[in-house]
Amino acid sequence: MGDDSRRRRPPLAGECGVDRISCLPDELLHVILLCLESSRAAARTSVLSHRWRRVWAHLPALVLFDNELPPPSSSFQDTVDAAPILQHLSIWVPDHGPGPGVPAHRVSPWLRFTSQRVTGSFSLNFRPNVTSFVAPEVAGE
Amino acid sequence: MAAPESGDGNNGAARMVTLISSDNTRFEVEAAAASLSQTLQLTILDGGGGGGDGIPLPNVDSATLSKVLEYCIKHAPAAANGGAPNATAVDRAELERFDNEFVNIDQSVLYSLIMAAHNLEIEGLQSLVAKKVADMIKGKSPMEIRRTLGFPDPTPEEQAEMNAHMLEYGWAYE
Repeated sequence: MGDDSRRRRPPLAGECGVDRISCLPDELLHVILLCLESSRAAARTSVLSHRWRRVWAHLPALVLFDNELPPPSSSFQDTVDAAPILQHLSIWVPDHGPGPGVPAHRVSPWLRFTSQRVTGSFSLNFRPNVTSFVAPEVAGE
Repeated sequence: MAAPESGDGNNGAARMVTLISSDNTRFEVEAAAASLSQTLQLTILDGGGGGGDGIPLPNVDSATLSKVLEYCIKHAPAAANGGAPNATAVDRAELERFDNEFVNIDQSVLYSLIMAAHNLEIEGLQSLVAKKVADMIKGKSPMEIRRTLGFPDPTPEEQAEMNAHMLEYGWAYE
């Protein structure tokens, strides 16, 4: 509940510029960012202003598609460590695609991240077979 | 005074309700169209909005409400069919054409519309506008997004901050 009121927070004074879209409440900017269907594109908006950085940092859900899986680079780890506490995390990975697939050492950090930072649901989805592993609700800390 | 059992709308007089905008303009509209709003649907199911009463909407001005109702009237028949599984391809194409033109509007109107859709809980309209704004952002560099959304040019300080931020978020630009 306290979490919900945080996401409904309107822009702080001075954060809402001449452009009207930045004046939308966080909740609606989150809806817009999720429509981008790309975690990279959503993350790029955080450079726009302090307001957008806060919006990205509080994004409640993250969907990672196989064509944009983050490289296991330190910059992504740092960003994730610094930013979102998620309610939902969904990762789409290729299944038996032309590539080597997803090695276990890539998956285990996601699971660790999920256990620490995701308060709601986590799904790991394999394409093109529409099998899906959905973890039970992770108890929030 | 009770609403007709069911099946109204097809045979003559559809039930009408009155909505009153923040600037006191009255809009008479079919209950089925207004019921696309989850918020209004509850009031209407309770029998509100009929007769001389009207439902006041203190957060929505007349220009916005008129636009919202244009959307609701257009989408009401499909919504009544439960997402219109039996709608023809022509109907669907027509709705899509309407939607595309409907959001081809100024940013300040997009702002008012999505706020109204959010307050009135009109899910279809909220996601239509959200997708439009997302399309304005998609595939653009941060500077292009700033220009599209109408940000002023960054000050040298802001520019330096943006450059540092882009370095930090290197993975988002790969």
